[in-house]
Amino acid sequence: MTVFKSILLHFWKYKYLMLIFLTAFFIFAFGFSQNSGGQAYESEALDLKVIDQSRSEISRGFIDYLSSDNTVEVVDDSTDFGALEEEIFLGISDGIIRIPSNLEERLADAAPAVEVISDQRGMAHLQIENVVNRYFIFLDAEQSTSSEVDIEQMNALLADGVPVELHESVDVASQNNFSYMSTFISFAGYWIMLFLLIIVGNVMSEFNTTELRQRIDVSPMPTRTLMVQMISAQTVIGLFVVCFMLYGGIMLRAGHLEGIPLVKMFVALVLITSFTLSIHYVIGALTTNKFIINGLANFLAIGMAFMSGIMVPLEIMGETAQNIAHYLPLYHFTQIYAEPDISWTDSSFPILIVVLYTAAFLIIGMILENKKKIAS
Amino acid sequence: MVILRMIRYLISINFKDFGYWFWTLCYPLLMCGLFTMTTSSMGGTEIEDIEVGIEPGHPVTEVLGTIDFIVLTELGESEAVDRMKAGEMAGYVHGSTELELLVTETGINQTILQSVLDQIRNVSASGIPFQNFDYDQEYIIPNSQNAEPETVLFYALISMISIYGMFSAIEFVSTVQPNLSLMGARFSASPYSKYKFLFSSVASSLLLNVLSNTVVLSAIAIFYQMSLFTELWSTLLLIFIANMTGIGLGLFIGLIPGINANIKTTFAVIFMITLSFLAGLMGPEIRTIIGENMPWLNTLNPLARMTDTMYRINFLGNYSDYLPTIGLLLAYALLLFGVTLLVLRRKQYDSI
Amino acid sequence: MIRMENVVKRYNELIALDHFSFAAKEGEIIGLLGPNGCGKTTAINCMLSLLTFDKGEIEIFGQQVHPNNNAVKSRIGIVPQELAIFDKLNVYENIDFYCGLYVTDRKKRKALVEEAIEFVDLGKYRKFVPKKLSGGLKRRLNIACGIAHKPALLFMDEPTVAVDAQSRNFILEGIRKMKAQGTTIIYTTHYLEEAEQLCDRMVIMDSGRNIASGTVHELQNTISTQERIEVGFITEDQTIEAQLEELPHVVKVTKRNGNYLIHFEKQENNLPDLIKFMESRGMSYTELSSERSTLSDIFLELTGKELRD
Repeated sequence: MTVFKSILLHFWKYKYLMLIFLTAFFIFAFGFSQNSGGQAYESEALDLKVIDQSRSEISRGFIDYLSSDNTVEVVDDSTDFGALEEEIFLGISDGIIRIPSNLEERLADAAPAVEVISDQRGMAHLQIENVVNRYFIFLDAEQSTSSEVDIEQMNALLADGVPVELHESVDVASQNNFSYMSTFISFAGYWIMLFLLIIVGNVMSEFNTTELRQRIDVSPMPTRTLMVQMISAQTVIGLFVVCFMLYGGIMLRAGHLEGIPLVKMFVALVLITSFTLSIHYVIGALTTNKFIINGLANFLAIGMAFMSGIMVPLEIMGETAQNIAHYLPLYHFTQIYAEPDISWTDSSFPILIVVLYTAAFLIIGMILENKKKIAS
Repeated sequence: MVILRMIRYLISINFKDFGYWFWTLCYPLLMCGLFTMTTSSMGGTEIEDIEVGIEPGHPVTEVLGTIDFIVLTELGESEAVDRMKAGEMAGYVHGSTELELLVTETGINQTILQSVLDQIRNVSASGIPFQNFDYDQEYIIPNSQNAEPETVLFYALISMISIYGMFSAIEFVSTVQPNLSLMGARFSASPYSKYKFLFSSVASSLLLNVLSNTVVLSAIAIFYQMSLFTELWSTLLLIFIANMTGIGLGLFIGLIPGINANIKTTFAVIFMITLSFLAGLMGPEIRTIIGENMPWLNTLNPLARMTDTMYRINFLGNYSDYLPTIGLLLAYALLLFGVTLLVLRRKQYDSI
Repeated sequence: MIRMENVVKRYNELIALDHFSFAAKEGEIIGLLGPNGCGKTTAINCMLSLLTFDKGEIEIFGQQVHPNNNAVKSRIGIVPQELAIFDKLNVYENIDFYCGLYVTDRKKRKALVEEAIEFVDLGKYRKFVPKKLSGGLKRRLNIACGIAHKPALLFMDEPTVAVDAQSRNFILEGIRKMKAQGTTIIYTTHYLEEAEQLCDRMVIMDSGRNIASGTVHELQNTISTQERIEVGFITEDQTIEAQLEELPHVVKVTKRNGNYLIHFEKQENNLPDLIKFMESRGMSYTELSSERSTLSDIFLELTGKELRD
């Protein structure tokens, strides 16, 4: 147990860093938990900024109409227009609608009435056009039918939409619960990877320095015992982190756990931990240089996270990226808990892939380790 | 001359370390490749037609068929549900007496479809003669502002590599402190001025990092064909100043007593990744969440400030926070250099 | 040249230097002797103004030591116990780097570096990085880095630890040469033979204190055991030891390699007295040799400990 204890002692030296790492994770996770959806179908609200220079009955009615289904913020003329455009650039806001001061004259002259600034390449732009046109088409139609237009009444008419029904087989509450938890677990998977590669990488680089390893190599301790103790110590740390994160997730979402395949999520986290440790084993056999360890750890963790759809949804990535993703273990990690009601049969394939990856890296690590021993 | 010689040696010490180059050159290049691959289709989203199912013989079939972005298919409900669950169809229009929409999920396509159906319903409910609705009238003065949140990833990456000088600075400070390295004892016992050493450390870190930054930026421009810098010189000045801030941070971290250079580097990596993460390196949403909930964090985070300023000047032509950002980065740098000098000056140790 | 008066240095509860005093004159080699942990390196670090100390005074070249006293620092050289060299710089670059901390003139520095390389005989290895050098060669490089600028005062902290015999002789020879050139050297070691061979004067340290100092001769005079005489007898007799102990001025009698080792008090005529005594008792001896007490004896008597603990 000497090696086992000494590795754990080494980890203890990093306790504050580990604490910072875990705290940072939960701060982000708490941020995610704040925007969980409702219980039934809700249309996608546009995020709009409106500059009303007209301040007329029509413009007020227009804003009321827009506000009924969308998130509308009326901003005054003095607002920094650049900042509003930046929100579109960053994808925070869907568009800006500027109502000119001569709105009524423009309508009378059949000239374009309002200015819409949005990304014309996106579907949100289509929806803004739809919504804006609908109001003015009705306004014009009302005006041409009767001389007096009651805006309030018109808005009431426009608010009367078709009933939208969510198919009975869809459980929105469970879906929301699942969608939060699956994001949480994917993020936890990424974080565990980064955590283990950086912390374990640095702890073990100290432990793997040539002088220390030579001492261990010449001791009567068999290589197998050494390996078992090293792997056990790392596994203990890994399992501690996995349990801590999963338990933290359960605590954050207490009462919203229906429809979540928690056991499969736990299995997925344990597997990704083993996989990360096997990668680390390969890195450890290759180098003890802290720059290379940190660089590789970052690249692998971030790279895998990106390519597996944890950071940016896979659907919006290019085809090449999507194809590559299918060959990466982190993608299969997410597939273990891909659906709320996923069966063990469906989970077994991705589980097998991650296990095979882990085994492959362990074998590569062993080969490299043996080569290193022979070379030294 | 003395300083130049010192700079040459300090550069040489780092230059011969493969790990240093891996971290400062290979890693950012790999990341760029990754970002390019994953975000290549993010910016170029196009308006796609919406697949809609409809009950065979439904009265609104004709009207819906005239809308150019809707592709209509007549089919039964169960088949429609299957296709909706497979993500091939946005919604199913049915209802004999009343127009109804059946969906299996929430999304922008469903919302657009709902909005179209609402309009059909409103027209028939209004009692206004159909000919009074002028669908050809243009009500909108269109103006475009492209949404390119993915560029935040690249700018956050560039911001991150701009402060990489911190790693060589950590090494240099550790080298010069007798309680941290053996060379430090030799160094401290010599008459070589601490000011000169600090200056040489800063200059060599700066030269090394500016060199690796140049390679990375050139690679982004040449290999990945990205035009991130419409305002090249202003951006380069910003990167240069950020290099100073990074070095200042490295010197400061290097001064932390009682821990060795390895732990300091690990700490610096985690600190830098956190700052980059908050600035949007792993996706622009985080940056937005921070901006909404803790705007002060974005204001103080040098990487977030730099990322924001870079896309503002290059994509939005907005220079309003350029000088404040440079000011903040310089202030950080000067403050950290000052603290370093103060601590190193007349430094004697209780134990070595 | 160096004056250290009543210096006290504490590490929390532990007293590393306990009213430690010593002085060195120009051109001397002073040996700081003592077991590991007795405070030798701490004393050097205080003199180099790397460490703060709680009490006392240190003057070097007639000036108070201070971290910013560059005039003093520029005349000092240091060869630390552990290797303080850059892995990434080759032999020439390492020496040039450290020499450059003291000597700004390029031509002069170049000549000094060449001289240092020659001095430690690393000419063949000038382009080698430390990783490619053997332990002994690394030690020589470590020394070259400390002496290249030709310091007037050189601190050498156990420079021959873990060095093979050939390299050790080479180093010791070098130190003698430096002394001949007028360098004052403060030399710490726990190899007594080295100290006896090299040092003009020695300071014996134990638990942070200066327990004795002087030349070897002076130190020998400070202890009660002055001389040891080894005698081998033809026949082995149980009573020999008891008989020898009857002789005046004998401190004790021990056995060594089958012979008897007689420890005498300070006295002029121990050997003639012994010969007379043995003849009077009819004790026939085969061999007889006399030896003066060594530093090891001195240390043992002063501290009650062996030096190489």
